[in-house]
Amino acid sequence: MKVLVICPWAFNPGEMWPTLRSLKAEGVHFEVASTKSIIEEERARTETPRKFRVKTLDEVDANEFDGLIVIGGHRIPREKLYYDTTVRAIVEAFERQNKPIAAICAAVPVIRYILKGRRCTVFPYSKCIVMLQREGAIIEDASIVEDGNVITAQSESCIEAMIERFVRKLRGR
Amino acid sequence: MVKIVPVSDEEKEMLKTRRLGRISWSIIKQFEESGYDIARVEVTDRSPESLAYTLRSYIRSHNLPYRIMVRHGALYIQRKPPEEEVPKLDESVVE
Repeated sequence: MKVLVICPWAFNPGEMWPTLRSLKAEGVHFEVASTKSIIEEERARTETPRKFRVKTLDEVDANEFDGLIVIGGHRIPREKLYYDTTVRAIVEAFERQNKPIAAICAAVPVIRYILKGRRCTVFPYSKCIVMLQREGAIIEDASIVEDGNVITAQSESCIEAMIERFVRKLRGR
Repeated sequence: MVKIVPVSDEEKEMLKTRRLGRISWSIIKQFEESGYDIARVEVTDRSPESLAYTLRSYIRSHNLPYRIMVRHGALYIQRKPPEEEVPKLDESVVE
């Protein structure tokens, strides 16, 4: 089983590390992809951000993976993900194949195209709420919301629980 | 009053040529061709600090792998060592 993790080039370590740690603990392989080939920890969170080499979004083939997780990060690179057409194509490809899709915190609007008429949760940033409402998503004030193959988590505090549900869905396929 | 006028082909060609810079480009080109790792730039008509400022701006804006420093009143230009290998973000990185 292999999962694709999409993140902004300045990712939130509070979301990235618990996600990857939980996936590793569950024995799920993962591959990280971003808009740039070199990504780094969000500067506001760590004094000395570490850099890593990852796949770029153009190199990603959705057929290689069994699930998708989108995590957040610094505002500007994260907002680039909201409007990235490659990300949209990847999300829609996962949705067409009915593969599990998860998004955390302010990264939920990245998957907004598949949330029409579906329940979800998001970190209460007004911009995120407006974007989701425009696409017809039903926003709930809950820590984790599951609707079909889509799982959304409101904040980084519930990542472990979200990954547990995500992996259960992966194995149930 | 502002007027929009079409641009001739000759004018278009002129726009393509990029301004290389009168001072910085010639110094950096000389250093590049010299093959030295580090060299002292001898300045006569202006202060080393002033030229260092100009060169640093040029290097930053063109993203060049050089470093400029002023030590004991002399200006030096140095090649930057290649960047450290960035690790791949995979399972081995996650504790």
